[in-house]
Amino acid sequence: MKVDKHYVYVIFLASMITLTASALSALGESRLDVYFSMYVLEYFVAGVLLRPRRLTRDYLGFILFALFLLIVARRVSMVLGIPIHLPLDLYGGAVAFTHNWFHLP
Amino acid sequence: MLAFFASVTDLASLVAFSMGLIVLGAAIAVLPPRPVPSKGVLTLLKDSALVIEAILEELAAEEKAIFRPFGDDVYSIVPLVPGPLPQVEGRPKSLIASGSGDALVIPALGEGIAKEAGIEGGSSLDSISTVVVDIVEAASSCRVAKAPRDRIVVELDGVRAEVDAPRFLKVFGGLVVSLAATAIAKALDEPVRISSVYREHGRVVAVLEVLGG
Repeated sequence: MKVDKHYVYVIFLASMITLTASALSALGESRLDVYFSMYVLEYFVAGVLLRPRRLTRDYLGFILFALFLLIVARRVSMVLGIPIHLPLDLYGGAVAFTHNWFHLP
Repeated sequence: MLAFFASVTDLASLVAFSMGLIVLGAAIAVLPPRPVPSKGVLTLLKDSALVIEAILEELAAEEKAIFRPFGDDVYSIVPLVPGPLPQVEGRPKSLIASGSGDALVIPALGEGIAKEAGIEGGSSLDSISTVVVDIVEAASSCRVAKAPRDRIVVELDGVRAEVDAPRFLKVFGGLVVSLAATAIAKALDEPVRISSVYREHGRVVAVLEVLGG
């Protein structure tokens, strides 16, 4: 029996995202950009391997890739010592971010 | 409550996992719905091919089919007598068209699917694989290349949609070739004729001739 490749795509992506979140969390990773970069990578790997048909052009891919480039630019700027300030600072540490967002003590 | 939640869990992980769910949700949202599974579509197409086979047998048709667009629709024209191409003017209203020679005129197989896939005049030839591979899943891969002398070569691998209909195979080149020819005629907005078809172990190579306006 042949399984619909869209089901395989969704299961594959869901598994990879869950695995990534669990593994990085277990390693004590708290930088959200690391998680996000991995998700973007997995999105594109799943797309290339299983080639799902989409309703429109892959606008989500464009958005994710643009955010990924932003993260990379931010990292490079940090190495070069030229800070880039983003409205939503993904680099300030997840704990600080969530504490501020939810007004936690 | 959030303070309690933060004290017992790592909020960074939760936020990260939520981001993952957003990516996954967005990825699922842009997948097209499938009201009819590919297998069902393929079965309907096979049944249609068998009906066409019966008509071809009745008319003893042997000439290769021509796929000609009429507006948004594509029709298959099967010359019933050898010789010059039959002239079919305007959208066909009857099964048999007369003129320079009688011809069987029927809506092309998979015409609606090509329309559903968004193929229209000016679409890329690569979009053919959307019909053959993605929607119908009649083959595992499809490559289309332009060849000299207004010819187009379609190479299909992992073909799993053939019918036991010898006259249909002879006239239309088979189910997948017919689907590809319909989509190509629609994408080019020009008539195409099946020139030759080669088959070997689940691989089909078809040469189509673009007849021009």
